Amino acid sequence: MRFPRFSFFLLCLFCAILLFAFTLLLTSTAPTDLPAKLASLSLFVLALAMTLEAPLLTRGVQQLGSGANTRDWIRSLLILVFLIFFLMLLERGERLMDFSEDGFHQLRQSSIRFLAQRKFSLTVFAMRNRDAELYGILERFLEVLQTHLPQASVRWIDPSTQPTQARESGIRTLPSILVQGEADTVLIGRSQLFGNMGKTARGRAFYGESALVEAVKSLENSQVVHLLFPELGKGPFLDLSAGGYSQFVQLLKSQGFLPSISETLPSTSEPTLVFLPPRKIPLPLSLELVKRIQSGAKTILFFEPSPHQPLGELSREMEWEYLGFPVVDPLRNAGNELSFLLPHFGSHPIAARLDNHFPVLLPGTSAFLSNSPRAQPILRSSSFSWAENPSGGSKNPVFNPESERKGPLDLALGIGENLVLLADQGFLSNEFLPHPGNQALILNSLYFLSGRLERASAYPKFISERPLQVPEQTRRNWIALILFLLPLSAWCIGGLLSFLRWREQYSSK
Amino acid sequence: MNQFFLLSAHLLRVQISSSGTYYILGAFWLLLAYIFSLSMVQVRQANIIPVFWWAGFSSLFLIPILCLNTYLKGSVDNFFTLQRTLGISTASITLGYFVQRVVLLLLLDSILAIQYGFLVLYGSPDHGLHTCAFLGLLCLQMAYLSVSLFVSSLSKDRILTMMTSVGLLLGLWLLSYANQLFSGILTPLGQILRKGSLYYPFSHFLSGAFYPTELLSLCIWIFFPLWLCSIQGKR
Repeated sequence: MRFPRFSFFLLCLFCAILLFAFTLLLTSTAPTDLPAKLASLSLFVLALAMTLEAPLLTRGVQQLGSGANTRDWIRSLLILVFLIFFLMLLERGERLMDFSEDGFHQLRQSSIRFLAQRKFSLTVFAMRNRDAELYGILERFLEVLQTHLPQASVRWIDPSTQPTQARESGIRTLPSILVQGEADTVLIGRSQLFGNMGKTARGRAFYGESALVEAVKSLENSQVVHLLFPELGKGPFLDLSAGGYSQFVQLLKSQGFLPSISETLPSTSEPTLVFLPPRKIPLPLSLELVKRIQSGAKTILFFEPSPHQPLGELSREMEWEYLGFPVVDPLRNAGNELSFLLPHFGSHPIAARLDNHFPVLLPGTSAFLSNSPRAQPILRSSSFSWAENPSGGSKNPVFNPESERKGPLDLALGIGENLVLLADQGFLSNEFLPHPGNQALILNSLYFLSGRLERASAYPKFISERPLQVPEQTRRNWIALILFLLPLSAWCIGGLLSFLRWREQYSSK
Repeated sequence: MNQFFLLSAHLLRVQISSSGTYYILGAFWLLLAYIFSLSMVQVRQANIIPVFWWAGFSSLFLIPILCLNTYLKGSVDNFFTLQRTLGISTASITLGYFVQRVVLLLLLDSILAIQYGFLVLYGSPDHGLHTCAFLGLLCLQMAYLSVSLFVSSLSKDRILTMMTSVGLLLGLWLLSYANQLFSGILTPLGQILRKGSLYYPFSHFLSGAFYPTELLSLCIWIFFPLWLCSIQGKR
C-alpha cells in the first residue's frame, strides 16, 4: 500500500483550517480575530504544499493543455485578462441599478449635492458575523455613496481585530460610523443608523443617509440657539419624563447647535425659541419680546392653548390673531384622539421641505388667523375642523357656528423671514419629538430663520412591509398544492416514464 | 447554426423524456415549497426572497449532479458520434449541453413563478425586487452550470468530478466572506477574492439593486468556463 505524500496531509490540513475559519466566522457572536488568523495560517500551509508539489503541478498544467491547441489556451488567457481589465474600467463611476419599488438603495440628489461640497472621511466599525443583515445594508449604502462621491474615503474596522482603535474612538454600539471633518469628529451610533429597534411599523428603517447628512451638518454648525422658557424655575423643562424637553435639547446638540436655556431674553440677534406660558406673560418680558421682534431678530414663538391673548399689541401690528381655543379636526385626528392632529402642509418654504410620509403630530394645538400678505401658512387644519370653545360645556365637541371659528385654520405661520409662530409646544416634548415629522418641522424652521434651508432635515428610508391578506383556508389549500401536489405529480410522471421504459425493454427481450 | 438548433432540440427531447428529470424536479420543488410554506406561516409577507436564496444554495449541490454524466462513457460516445459523423463543432455541442440544462433549470425555477402568482393574488409584492432576484438566481445557476460542465469535461472519474465541482462552487460561494478573513496587509487580497465570488453579486441581486459590473462578472463566470469547456472538448 502506498503511503500518502506529505503534501497530501498539508492540503487536508489547509482545507480543515479554512473550513474551521469559515465556520467560526459564520457562527461566532463574540468579537474574535481567530478566523482571520486561521485564514492566514491556511494560506501559509497551502503555499508550503504547493512548493512541495511544484513538479506535479507543472506536469498537471502541461497535461491539461496537451490535447488542445496552445494557441487556444493563449487566446483564452488573453480573453480573460481583457475581460478583467474591462471590468476594472467599468467599475469606475458606475451607477447602481435599483429595481426595488422603494428605491431603498438610492441616495437622494439633494444629499449627494450637499455631501459633494464637503470634505469628510468615514471610519466604519462593524462586524459582519454579529450583525449580518445590518452590515449588508450599511455596506451597500457606503458602496453607493462612494460611487457618487469618490473623494469620500471609507475605512472599515473590525473591532475584534482592532479593539484599541474602537476603544479610542469611543465606540459603544456596532455598527457605528465615525465621521471626521477638517477639525472635528462626530460619531453615528447604531440607533442613529437603524432606529432603536431596527424595525418600525412601516418595515425596516435605515437612517444612514439622513444620519450622515446631519452629522456632516453638525461638523459645520456652531450656531447658538437661545431657548427662552419664562417659567424655567417652575416647569420641568429639561425633565426626562414624557412632558419634558430633554430630547429636544439633545436633538439641537446632535445637529451641532449650541442651545442656551434661560428665563430672560438675550440681547443678541441669534435665533431665539420662546416657549410662551399658558398664563399671562409678565409685562416687562412682553414689551421686550415685542421690541425684539419689531427689530427683526429671528424668533420662533411657541403658544399653548390659553384664554389669554399673549403679545396682543404685536399681533395687532402684524395682523394676526391667536384664537386660544383648542382646534378639533375630526378628519385629521390621530389614533381616534380628537386632540392629536395631523395637519396639512401649507405654502411656506418650510412646509415645502416636509414629507407627507412623515406627518407632524400636534397634541392639543390652537390656531392663528391672519389676512396679512406677509403671513404664509406652514401647517393647516382641514375644512372640517374648528376652534372649540371649551366654555360650551359639552363632553363631545360639536361645531357651534355662533361661538366657534370653522376651519381651515392656520396652526403654524411664517411671518416674513424672521418670525415663525407655532400654536403648540407639546410637539417638542419627549413624548412627541421622536416623530420624524416633528423633528423636521422644528429643525427646518431653525434652518429657515438662519437662511440655510438647504440644510433642511433629510428623512430615513424604509423597506415597506407588504403583508399578505390571505384567508387561512386558502393559504392551506395553496400550501397543499405547492408542497404536495406539484412534487407528487412530477414524481408520478417520472415513475410512469420509468415504467414505460421498463415495459419497452421487457417486451423487446 | 442549424445544426446547433437541431442538436439542442434533440437534447431537449432526451431531457424531457428522461424519468430522472422528473425525480429531480419533484425533489427540488418539494424543498422550495417547504421553504415557501415556512415563510408563509412565519413571516406572512408578500416576499419570497428567502426561497430565492435557498434555490441558489441548493443549486450548488444539484447542478454538479446534473452535469455528472455529460462527458462520461456513454455520453462521450455520443459526443464523438456528433462531432465526427455529423461534423458538429465542439463549441456547438458544449453549448447544446448547456442549453439543455438551462431549460431544465427553468423548469426547476418555474415553482417560483407559481409562488409569486400566489403573492400577486393575495398581496402586493415588490415586482422590481423579485424580477431582479430571479435574474440573479438564473445567472448564478447558469454560472454554476458552466463551471460544473467545465469540471466534468476535465475528468472521467464520477466521484472526483462531483467532489471537485461542489468544492469549487462552495469555495466560490464562500469567497464573498474573504474580506472578513483577510485583514491588515491582506485586505486588498480579500477584496479581490470577494469580487471573484459568485455569491457576492447574487446577494446584491437579492436586495433588488446591482451594479452593471456585477452582472458582467456573472456573465464572465457563465461564458468563460464554457469557452474553456469547448477547448477541452477538442482533446
